Amino acid sequence: MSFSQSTQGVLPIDVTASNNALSSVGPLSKYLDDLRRSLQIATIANLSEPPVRIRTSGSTPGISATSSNSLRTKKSLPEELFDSLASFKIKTSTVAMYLEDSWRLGFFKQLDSLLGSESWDPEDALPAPDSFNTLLRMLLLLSPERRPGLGASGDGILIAAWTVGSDRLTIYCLPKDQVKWVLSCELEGARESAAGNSTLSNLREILSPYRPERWFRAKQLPQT
Amino acid sequence: VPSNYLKPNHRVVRYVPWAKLRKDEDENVVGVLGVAFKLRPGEAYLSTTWAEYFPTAEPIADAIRAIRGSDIDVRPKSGYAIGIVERIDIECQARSRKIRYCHESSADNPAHAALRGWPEDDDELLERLAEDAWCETVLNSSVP
Repeated sequence: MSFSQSTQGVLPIDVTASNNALSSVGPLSKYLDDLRRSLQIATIANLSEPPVRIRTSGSTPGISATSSNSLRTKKSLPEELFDSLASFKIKTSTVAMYLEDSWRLGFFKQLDSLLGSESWDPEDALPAPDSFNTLLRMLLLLSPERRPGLGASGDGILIAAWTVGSDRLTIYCLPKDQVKWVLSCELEGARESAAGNSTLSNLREILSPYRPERWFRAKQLPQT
Repeated sequence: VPSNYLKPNHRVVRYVPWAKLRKDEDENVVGVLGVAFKLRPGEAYLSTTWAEYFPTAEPIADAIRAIRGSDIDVRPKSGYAIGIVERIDIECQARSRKIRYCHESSADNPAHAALRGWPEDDDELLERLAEDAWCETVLNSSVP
């Protein structure tokens, strides 16, 4: 069995080899085993989401060309939530070396809670992978000791919210490293509120007049 | 649909799913996020339940039970934001928004109230409303 990448971004899977390799074990079962293996490999390749089409070649009576998408059935909401959760945890794990274990485990717990089928509103769009990328990159750039509370809008935007007393910072994680932020806090004895749009690279600087360490510092334990 | 307008001291209750509750890093609920008050595409008003519709000793709890009995798919881990008409109005008028608070009973909720003229795309105002006007949050699990 051979695989090759065509110039049109299509991954043809050559199953003629399986026809030539019909063994004494049983031609049909051998063919089906090969085909099943082909489909598994194609499905794994499809995780990175280039359009993948399975193409059969050679004469295989009774078996027509098919696509991996047509083999999928519509997923239930719990399945979709599970898939989103798994993909977010896998992405987080790729940068685990930058996160303290306790911080990362707490973050995973928050994701479990946010994307639990007991809590998710079926009317809301699932969080977009691009929004999660921005959230994760923002957390790496800001390196807050204190994790934000996590939320999501109805249209799939993840939200990081820090609350210390009446001081609030809310950041909407938009795709492609864009953020929208809203804050209100005490500053020089007066109540300030502000909002704006920014890129991740500018965020720390833009927040700096509002002393963001109030939100990012670890929670102070009460003194005994 | 004939409407009655709510009075300034009346309260409205809004269902808030878990993802739109404001939480700390340990998952303690500390309020609601502004997105809890964002209209979905095509929505003409903010949908709430009028607490004073119920002439009972526990109008908030009765409003929550009315929401549970409506078409809303209330999830176990969810909450309700309670807003006071007058305080909502102060915040909205500060941003030149004139809101109409109309009792518009629906087939699934006789206490349904529509907040018409609601801001569609003002995240700062929605966060301020969450902070100052819808300032009480009740968890679904706390109401029998």
